[in-house]
Amino acid sequence: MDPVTIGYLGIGALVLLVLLGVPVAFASAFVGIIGISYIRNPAVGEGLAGMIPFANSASYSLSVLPLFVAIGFLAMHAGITTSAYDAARKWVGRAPGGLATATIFASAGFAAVSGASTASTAVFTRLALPEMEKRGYDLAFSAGVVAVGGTLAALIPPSALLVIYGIIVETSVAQLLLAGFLPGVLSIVVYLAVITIVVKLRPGLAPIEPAVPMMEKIRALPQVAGVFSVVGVILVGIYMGWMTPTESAGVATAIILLMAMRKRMKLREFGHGLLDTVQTTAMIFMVIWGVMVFVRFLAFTGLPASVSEGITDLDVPRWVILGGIIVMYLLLGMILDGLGMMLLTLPVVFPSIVALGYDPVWFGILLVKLIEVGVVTPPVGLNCYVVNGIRPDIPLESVFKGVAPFLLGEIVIIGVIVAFPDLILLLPNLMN
Amino acid sequence: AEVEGPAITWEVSLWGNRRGFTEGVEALAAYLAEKTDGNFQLSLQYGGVLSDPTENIDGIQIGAFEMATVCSFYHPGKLPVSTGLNLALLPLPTLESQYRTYAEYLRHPAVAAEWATWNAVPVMSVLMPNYEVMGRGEPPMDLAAWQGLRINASGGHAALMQALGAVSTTIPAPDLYSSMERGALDAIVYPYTYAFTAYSLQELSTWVTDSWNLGTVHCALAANADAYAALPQQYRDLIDEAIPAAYAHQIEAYSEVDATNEADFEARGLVRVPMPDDVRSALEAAVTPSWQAWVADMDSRGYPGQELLDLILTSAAAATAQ
Amino acid sequence: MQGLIEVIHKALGQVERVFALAAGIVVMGLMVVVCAEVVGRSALHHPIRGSIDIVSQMMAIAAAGGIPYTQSRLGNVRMTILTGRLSDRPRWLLEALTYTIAAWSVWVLMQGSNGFLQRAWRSGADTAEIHIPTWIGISFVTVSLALLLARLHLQLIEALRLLALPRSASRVFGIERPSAAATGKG
Ligand code: NA
Ligand code: NA
Repeated sequence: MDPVTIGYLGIGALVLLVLLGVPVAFASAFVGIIGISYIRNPAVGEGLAGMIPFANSASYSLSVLPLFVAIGFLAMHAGITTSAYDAARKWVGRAPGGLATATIFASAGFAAVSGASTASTAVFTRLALPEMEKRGYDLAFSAGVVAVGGTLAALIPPSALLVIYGIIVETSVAQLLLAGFLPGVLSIVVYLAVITIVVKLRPGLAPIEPAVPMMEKIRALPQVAGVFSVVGVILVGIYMGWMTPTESAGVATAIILLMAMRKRMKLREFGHGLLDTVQTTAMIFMVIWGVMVFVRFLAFTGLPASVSEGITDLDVPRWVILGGIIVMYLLLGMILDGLGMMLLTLPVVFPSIVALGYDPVWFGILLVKLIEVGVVTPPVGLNCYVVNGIRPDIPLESVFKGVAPFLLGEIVIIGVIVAFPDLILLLPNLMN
Repeated sequence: AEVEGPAITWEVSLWGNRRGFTEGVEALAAYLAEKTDGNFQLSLQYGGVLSDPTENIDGIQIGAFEMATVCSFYHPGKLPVSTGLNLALLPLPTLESQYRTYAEYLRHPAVAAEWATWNAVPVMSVLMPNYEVMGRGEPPMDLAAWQGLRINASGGHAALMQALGAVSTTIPAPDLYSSMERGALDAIVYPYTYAFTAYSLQELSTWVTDSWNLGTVHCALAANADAYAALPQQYRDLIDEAIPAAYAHQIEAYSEVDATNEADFEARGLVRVPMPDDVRSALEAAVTPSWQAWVADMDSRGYPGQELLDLILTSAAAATAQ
Repeated sequence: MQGLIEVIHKALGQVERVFALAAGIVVMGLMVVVCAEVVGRSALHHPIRGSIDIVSQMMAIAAAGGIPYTQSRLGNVRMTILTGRLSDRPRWLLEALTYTIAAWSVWVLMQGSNGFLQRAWRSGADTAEIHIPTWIGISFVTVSLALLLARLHLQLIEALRLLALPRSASRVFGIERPSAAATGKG
């Protein structure tokens, strides 16, 4: 059989296993090992796959991942996140869909201390969802807000996805992290607009909040300082070039830890924070390991090179190809999780993107945005799974229904990213 | 075809993108394909998709791929004797003198034996230009000016920079530009010229050392020994025939890049810093102990350290005289 | 049978927790090394030699240590649209298939990692700058994979048990069925 055909069969087998419910990490390792064993021999399948768990973890660049995750969980267990939500709520609670708006603001604040979208969603499902429920908010709508708000964590620095993208395509992680900031802000604005419009159209979804006295609002502010100090350290540290992304993550973790100790975090809470950190880190690395096995297999088949050549040889304007790539990611986002999707596709897609003359930093931002749309769309929408996992009483269908109006907003955001690359590259270009 | 033979495809594990460093294997692949009408193919796999650079030698040993670029400085313990070619300030001023010296050294039984333990054959060397220092701020024209400079350097080069009174650090390559731009770093020791321009460091710099030839590191294009032995004789002969052409092509590729880059450096007004005598003696004073430390390390591992060092130095002298 | 599974589940859970906490402490260690490097470089003019080597080797532990724990809590990314709609028996059949695939893959990874460890041990493989032996990190990874393999086998056996007794409660999968009278049987 032609090796490229074997590659396509492997992809087919992977998709089938994923649809049957095999976790992406195991499905891709399984197909990858069998594929390598078939093309080379079983000893190579075992030997090559077996080096991946150590070799693809023992890396300085990847060390930023557990640190980005730790910041978020320590902030949560130290109660810093609760304070942020409380402040947001006091300030914007009176707006239409006020608690939803506050959730987006607090998610944005948490995004600035958390590198992982699912972690962020998990936190606000526990924190904000019950509050909205108590005030008589529509459950599906509230769940949608929490799931969508979580995606901000992947754009607003720190971001695990942007780090991994930067490592794979050998592009400056610092520039990527800076580039994510403005599209993150844009996403916040769009989400707020969607909330306002939806609530104006159907006021029954979200009752109005009682007024909060000004003094109380002001008293809530100092609580948010922790969040701002982390954003400050990471953005300024990287922007000024004082620190590598790993170093800025380490310093930010230390700051949050000190704040948590000042707030008298108990040893037990600290332990839980560590375990949560380790669990999210492990999830990320299992996917990295599994998919890397699969990527080695694909390389042996020659499929990536064949697809790349096929794409660049197409005699169409480059925006048509870009459009095709966007559609492909939106479709893939239906069945694969974001990290797996990125690791699988980049060896094929990235060379074409460069050959077509697109900017790698800009494409990274576009890609992460597309991936984050994927985590809130059915059937595989990781953030929605997280909401449903923590709140089994809210069916997955309801969460997806709650997300639906935001998808229109996401189309607008993707349009802006595609149409105005200069806006995305504004901050990284300032750095140069 | 000029050389007849069976259809054979070798998988070759490389990392990064195509660049001067990979032009040797590119030329080798082109030569083999041309002379055999495509029957003997090297399938060049860039981007570390088959293996990370640190595990290429493991991959060769288990037969995961037939060929790979292997650099002993990534894992000195895996190829201790070969690290002799990474010693700082070896007198190898040209790429030609490099590959001749490397070839002599790789023939030494101790070196051949250590590659054989990995079931590997170093087919040819991958050339890398000598290291130079590029930096920003006032050009350091004498030894005193090096005091306290923060310099990115690793291995033997770090020891050299410390001998000049500089502080050496190791920062991951992608972060070099921003570190230098914001003043966290004053200078960088890198292969001249391509590695500097790969990270746009010339944009930030005001000076570069002029032919200090601080030495470089050795990498080999190695093959799995079984796969190599299984090649028909005419293919092995063809490889031998192709190697000089491959070196010539790589050297040509480097010199083209250097010409472009040096014109750029000149247009930017980079000051070329000659090596003053006090710097020379400081470097030489530092180098002898570091070479001797390597000899002692080899001795302790049961290899003839002094003999190996002498082999490198005599081969280098002969190669440079040619 | 169920009793034995639960005993193993509990014992394994304690080991997994220890590994996960070790990984968590290593993450805090990463924080310390990285902060020390920043302070050393910028304030004291004295960077830590080989900090990249140190961090990279610690990462192997930070990444691998939590994996068995995460698997015990079913914390992996997976698609449940199909399995979520199935009734008990077909569902446990699919789950058994999933755990078979997972256990086989991890078994191969563990074997391969062990071979890698043997090579690193025999050759004296080390890091570039300060020559930290890599067998330390690789053996931690290999042991973590072995622990993961044990967990996956337990989950496989439990899935097979539930295939036979779909109405039974299950500690391993966190399924409580107070009415089920399956305790001690099977
Ligand atoms: Na974030
Ligand atoms: Na999706």
